[in-house]
Amino acid sequence: MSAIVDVDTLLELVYSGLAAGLGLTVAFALLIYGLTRSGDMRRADRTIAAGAYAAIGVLALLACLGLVVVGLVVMTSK
Amino acid sequence: MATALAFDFTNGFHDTANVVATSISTRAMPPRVAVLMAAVLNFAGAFLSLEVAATVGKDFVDEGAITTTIVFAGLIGAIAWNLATWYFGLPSSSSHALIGGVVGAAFAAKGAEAIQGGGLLEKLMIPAVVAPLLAFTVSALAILLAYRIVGRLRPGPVNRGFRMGQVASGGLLALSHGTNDAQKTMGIITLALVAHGNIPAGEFAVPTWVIVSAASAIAVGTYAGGWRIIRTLGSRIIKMDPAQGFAAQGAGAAVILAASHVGYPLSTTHTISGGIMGAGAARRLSAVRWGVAGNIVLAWIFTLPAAAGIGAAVYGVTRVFGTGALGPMVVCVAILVLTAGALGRRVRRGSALTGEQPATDTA
Repeated sequence: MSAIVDVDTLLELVYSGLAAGLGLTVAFALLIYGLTRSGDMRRADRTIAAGAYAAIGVLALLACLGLVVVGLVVMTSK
Repeated sequence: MATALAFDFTNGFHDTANVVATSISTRAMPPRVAVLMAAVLNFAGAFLSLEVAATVGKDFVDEGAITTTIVFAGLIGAIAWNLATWYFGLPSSSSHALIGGVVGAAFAAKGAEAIQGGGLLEKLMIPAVVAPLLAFTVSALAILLAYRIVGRLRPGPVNRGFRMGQVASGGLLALSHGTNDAQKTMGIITLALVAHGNIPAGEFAVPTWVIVSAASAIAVGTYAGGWRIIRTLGSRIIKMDPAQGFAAQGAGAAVILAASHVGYPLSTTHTISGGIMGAGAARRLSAVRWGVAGNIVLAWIFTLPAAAGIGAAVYGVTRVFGTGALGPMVVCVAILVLTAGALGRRVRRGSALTGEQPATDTA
């Protein structure tokens, strides 16, 4: 059975699937969180807090874009 | 060729739901816009890689044992199973149906020695178990984390945000679907060309006209839209909110792409169905309609043997008429007559999709 089933590949699939799936959703949730809270803080005239939340949003956006680019690279290179 | 492209069309409309069901269900996109985007990205995705085409052509049956009659019978088996599961609104794997049909026809023609059991186990059966379980787990964990992060925010911006995210994750899913599924038909057509002697045996290269025609057939099929399966995936398993839709789509796309990265072939249907069930079960176990989910899993289990049985039976019928083109032509005419009869009955009864009855006079 183990000769037919490549356990290492299977484990790699589980690790990378978990990392990419959780990473994408968490990054996107942080993007929404950062932008929404930044808007709230700006309306409350709390400029520094607004900037900090906006930074969280921008970092999360970069993470999302990075994951999408990795996905496109995987698709085109297989 | 025509039968292979017909299969590709059924593959497109059968699997449209994988890509668009969650976006339509959460109103991230209007239905027609969603299927148009899926069709265009499926078409584009078909040109990105040819690795899957080679897998379908070589890993499940002995390449040297394949004849055009076996390919024809296998395709009819896959089309018949796709249409049957579409009729009942069940999302089943078109890839498994295709492989099952070809394996059944090859078994009927050449016996067990033509079947590569190791390839079937490693590249079909184990992935069929792994794909939904992994997508279920990833989606469930992802939605729990997402709810922790955005749970205290106002629902308006959160829902709008996740709907916008679904447009992007749906696009990624459609593109990856195109790279996987259009290639299966390319693989089958190329296999037929090898069997017919148009391409030398051992030189598995997909001609450009095959790539263009397979990409076009799956794109047109996708645009036609399999609305029954869209309804099942989009609203009959769970009632989704936009965050759950995003988690299911994101988990599905991530698992499919991770599988591509490590060279592990997964069914898009199994993966996205597992993702949807996971997103529902994480919120509340009873939120998942387990009866519907059970029917879907049963359809997955029966896909390979049922398509193989039909493929073997069709091969037997075509061989009654010899090894030439007469057998496939007789089968095609019989299928057209049966389809016309079924459609005629349906037209007389009214629409099956909406349950509308012909207008009657009321006082």
